[in-house]
Amino acid sequence: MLSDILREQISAFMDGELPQEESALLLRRLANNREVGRCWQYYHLIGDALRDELAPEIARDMTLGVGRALEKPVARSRLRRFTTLAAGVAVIGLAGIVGGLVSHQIEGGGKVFAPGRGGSPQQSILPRQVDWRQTPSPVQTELSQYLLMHDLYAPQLHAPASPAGSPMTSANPSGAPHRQAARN
Amino acid sequence: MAGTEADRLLVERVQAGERTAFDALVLKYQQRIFKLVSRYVWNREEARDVTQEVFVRAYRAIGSFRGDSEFYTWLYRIAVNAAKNAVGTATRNPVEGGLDIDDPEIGEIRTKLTDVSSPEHLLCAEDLKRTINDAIGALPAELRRAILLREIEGMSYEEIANAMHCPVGTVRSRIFRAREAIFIRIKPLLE
Repeated sequence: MLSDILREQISAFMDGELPQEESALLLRRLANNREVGRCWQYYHLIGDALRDELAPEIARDMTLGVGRALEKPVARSRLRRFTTLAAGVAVIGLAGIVGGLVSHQIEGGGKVFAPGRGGSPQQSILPRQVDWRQTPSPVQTELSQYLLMHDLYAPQLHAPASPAGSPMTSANPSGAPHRQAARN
Repeated sequence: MAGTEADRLLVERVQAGERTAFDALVLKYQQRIFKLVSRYVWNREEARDVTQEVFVRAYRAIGSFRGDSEFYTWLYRIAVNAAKNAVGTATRNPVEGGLDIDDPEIGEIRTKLTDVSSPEHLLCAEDLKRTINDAIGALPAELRRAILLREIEGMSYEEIANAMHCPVGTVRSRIFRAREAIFIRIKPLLE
């Protein structure tokens, strides 16, 4: 049971008429004493009723509900933060795996994942990669053709002249090699 | 204005990290905010939830409250926004179509309609008002006048003292005794 002095202080404080030094003490009690809080609540309820500021249903003490609600979002935000972190780690991990697979395919010449080549029984779930090093480029093709033609038709050093005139040697009636002739 | 100094002290405490001081603000304003929210939100349970949400929002934002306006003015704005949001997100009652929710008269009508839908709640508030009025009527004239000048007219103790030709200390005592007399009458209804 609260003393009359304390109740009168509560009454004066809610009207803003309590001296500052008394207010500080009362505030401490208001925060820690449930009885003081209830007195505070009911005195205000009387004022609200006199001013016709009551809803049809009287709101009961909402402090507990507010307190609980203030706790909830903290837990939710922690969960959200954890989920975000986990998702971030998962994305980075997945990116690493995909990068590793692609890099492995490029470096391994696609042999590991190429079906029908033997070796690994595993098959890549990724689209089949093209082995650019095994596919001759247009420049390479041209060079190969040139060398082939060179081997076929170019006169060889220290080799006997072709009995039959070839398109390349027909302009040399002596049959001497071009380079030899040039030196002479 | 009533209790502005008390609000300032309580807000300062909350801003300093004392959450229990916020409880005092909740207890002080919960009826007014609940009534305000009830004008927008049809459902009583939802109105209670929105009222609670108003205080949660206020608590989280109280660091930004600079005291340029009164605490209740600031809280009122939060309450109106929260109530409008609740109305906007809730499934609208077809009966409400075309009504302006910002119109206080419409809000009052809605409140009365809601009252009809929940007579036990109406009875509760009406009982309390009747009991308080009875208690006021039973008070000695000087106590009745003192409490009415304070609560209805919002006069300071000094102004009441001037009006009643008595010392400020007497006014303080009369108001307290009036509250106590009413408190004793309503206590059984509330507990």
